[in-house]
Amino acid sequence: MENIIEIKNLKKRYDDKFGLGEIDITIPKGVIVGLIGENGAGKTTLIKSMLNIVKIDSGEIKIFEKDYKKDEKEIKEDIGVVLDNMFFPELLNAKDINNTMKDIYKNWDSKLYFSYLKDFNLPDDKSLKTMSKGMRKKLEIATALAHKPKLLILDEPTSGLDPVVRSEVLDIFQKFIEDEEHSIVLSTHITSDLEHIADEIIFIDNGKKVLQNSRDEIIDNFGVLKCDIDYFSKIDKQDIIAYKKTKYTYEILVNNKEQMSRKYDECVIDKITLEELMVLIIKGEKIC
Amino acid sequence: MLGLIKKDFLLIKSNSKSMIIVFIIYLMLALQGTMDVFFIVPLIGITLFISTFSYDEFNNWNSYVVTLPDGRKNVVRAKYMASIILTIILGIVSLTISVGINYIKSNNVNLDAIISSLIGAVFSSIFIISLFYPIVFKFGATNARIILFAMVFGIAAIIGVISRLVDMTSVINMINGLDNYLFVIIPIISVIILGISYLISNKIYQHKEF
Repeated sequence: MENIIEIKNLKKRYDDKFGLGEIDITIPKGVIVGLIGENGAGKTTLIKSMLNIVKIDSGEIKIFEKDYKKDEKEIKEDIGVVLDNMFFPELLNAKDINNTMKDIYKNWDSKLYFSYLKDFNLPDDKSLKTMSKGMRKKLEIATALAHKPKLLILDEPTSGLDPVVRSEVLDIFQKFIEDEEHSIVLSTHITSDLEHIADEIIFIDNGKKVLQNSRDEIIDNFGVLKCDIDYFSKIDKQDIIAYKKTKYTYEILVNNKEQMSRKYDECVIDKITLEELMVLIIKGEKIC
Repeated sequence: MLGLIKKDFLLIKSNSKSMIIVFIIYLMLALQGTMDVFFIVPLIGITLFISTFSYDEFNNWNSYVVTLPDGRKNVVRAKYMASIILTIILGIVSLTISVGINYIKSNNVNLDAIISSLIGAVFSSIFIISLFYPIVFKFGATNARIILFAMVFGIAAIIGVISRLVDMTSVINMINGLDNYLFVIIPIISVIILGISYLISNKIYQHKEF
């Protein structure tokens, strides 16, 4: 499968305390990739590096097998963007955005843009400052889609949306990748969204990639082994990725769920959610 | 680039209600004879230019605009182009008003004096743009405003001190001597300082992170 994004050895440091360190990421065509990690882990910096908003210190970023140094315009013509903070001038209205964007993107499709506005129930003549946060987010998503990009890079695109609109937006995202040519990279705190739509998950912690795997493999392989305090001492240390102690039990993050359930057949191993995985890896105690 | 220029004009248009009030006040002052109508060009111009930068900053437009296909060079270019277009529009408006006022007041239009004022006004506007834009690209609109005020006061103070220490009559005589050539010299100087300013802004913006 051809890759839509290839990142090699990316380093970006803001100061001594924070930065991204030696990140390698490959994203193929036709997938939705979810970026997860706690606040300040480096998700937004990674997205900004992919979009050339910040200059990387070293490494290589290739999008559509092209380099920003040589082909910035061509690359950006085919990317749709939603950033974490709202970014349209609030004095403008949706018509003004259309008037601006049609002279910016070669493939801008006004008809498609207004059809998204209609689907999203957005007024085209009201200034953005009169719109709610959710409405503005929908407008940003419509704008990101209206020039028919091949790749969507979205930072928190569903935050502030109610569950109904969120599911509408997620459906649109899924349709977007159906032809196996398009891809989406999206970061979100709403990890349940990713459990529905993401094909792959990239987990960033403290500026480093700690995990990249398909959603199904993560959900199938990882699990939370629950046991009491006495049993905890019987568990091999190398089987414990991280653990959390509650009042009466231990919750242990394990890999190879099936093998573990045979090995520790007296214990229950629960299916893991992405949120639990994140919390256990970030906040859980580690033995090794 | 056209889209970015349009965006600035759409912003100015949607902010036009408050600008119309300012414009009417200036116009009344001009009609009364308190103020030259050509002050409109640099005064309204700089207010509008600063406002577009402030909106860009306030609405996080700056980090979005660099993700668009236009590229950083065209972002800078569009700002300069939009300002030049606006200066020309304001110049034409001021010229029309000035001719009108002259005609109403004295039934006689002194075109030479009006053109001189217009050139002075456009030059002031270009001078402010040239000085201000590299600072705003480097430090952002909010900080740039403070720096600009400090610089204007600084320049005024330096000129004040120099004029006390040095006999300025020779300088003034020299400028008066150039009077006939100012029509040529001022546009050339304007283009040069605008060009230098653009190059500096561009260099700053290429490395800017948002």
